[in-house]
Amino acid sequence: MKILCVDDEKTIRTLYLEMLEKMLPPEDRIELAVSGEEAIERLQHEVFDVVITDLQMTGLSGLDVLAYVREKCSSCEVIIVTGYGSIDSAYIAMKQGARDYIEKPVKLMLLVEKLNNLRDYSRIVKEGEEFRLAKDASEIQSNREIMLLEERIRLMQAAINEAFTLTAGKPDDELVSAAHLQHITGLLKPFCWQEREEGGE
Amino acid sequence: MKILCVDDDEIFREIYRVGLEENLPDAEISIAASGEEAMELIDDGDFDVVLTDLQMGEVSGLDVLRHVKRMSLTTEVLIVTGVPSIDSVIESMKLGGRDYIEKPISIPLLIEKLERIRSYRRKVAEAERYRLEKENMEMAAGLKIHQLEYLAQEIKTSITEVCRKLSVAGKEVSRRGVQQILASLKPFSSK
Repeated sequence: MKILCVDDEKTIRTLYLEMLEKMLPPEDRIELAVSGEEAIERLQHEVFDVVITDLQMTGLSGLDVLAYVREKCSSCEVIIVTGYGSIDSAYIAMKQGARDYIEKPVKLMLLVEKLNNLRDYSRIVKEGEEFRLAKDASEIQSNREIMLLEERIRLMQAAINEAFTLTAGKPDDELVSAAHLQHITGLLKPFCWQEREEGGE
Repeated sequence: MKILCVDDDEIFREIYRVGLEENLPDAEISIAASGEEAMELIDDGDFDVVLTDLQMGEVSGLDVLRHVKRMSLTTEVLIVTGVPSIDSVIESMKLGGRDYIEKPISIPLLIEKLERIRSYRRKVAEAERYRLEKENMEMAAGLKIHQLEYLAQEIKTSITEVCRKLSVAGKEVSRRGVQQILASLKPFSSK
């Protein structure tokens, strides 16, 4: 996961970069922003899976960042860092679309668990989307195969019909001319097994 | 959503009952007064979410959580903690707990957390549905392709046989003879 951590305090940013990153799987990457403004600037040009943002910052707040993400980055989730014991701001953040929140002082072990939760969620969403796309792709592929087969069968049936039309009439002992016979054979010949195919299938 | 609320404190059981019934009218709420009772209900019922206090009498919330995870692949657990004890919260999440909330309970916040769990479960169900749809579609298409291939081969074999007979018959063949040779293609002629 690509994670953007937003905090205007340098010590907290250092904590994220130097401690949190070590606690996460190696494929996870932490990036930092020093303000809500910088976060939004980054989000305009880069895709992040998660944004962890402080709620109260000078300038744009965590809720502003959240609002931007909810409007512009559909697959990105937000964790808001709230003040200690501030149930109301936690509720407001959740209500406005944060996936989760964590209280200050941030317990990294807990944050890791919350990120794991989120990883679970993204994995499930991605999995569903992949199944849906795979289904569509394989439906198109099968329909094409079915169409080709039906067309092949239709052509053979047309040739057979034509052959019947050429020999229609009362059954009698009148000999069929060589040209006529060749005409009939000529209709059917393209659909015969080629010698090299015979016995193959 | 079927929710089981577990707390040994009657006041909290009442808070859950009233708060959830008021805010989640479509939810089916069950209540247990102890970990033991919760485990019995979990054995019999198929809950979507179990909301359990951490510190209770003999059987703790973590025991309930372990029991849920043993019994069901799909039931989610939301832990409630009285004294803020970050270590047990972290342990509960490592054991498969989905989320936690601290006492005193804020019902609006609890509802938001339950909604998150609901949306997670919905995504799980959705992924499963797409997976099944994909499998069913592929099976049906595979069968149809197989049938068409078989039919095409059958026609091809019959046509090959007819051509062989026509060439053996040579020049001295009557209309009746040709009709007899072609008769084997009758089932494949379209209307």
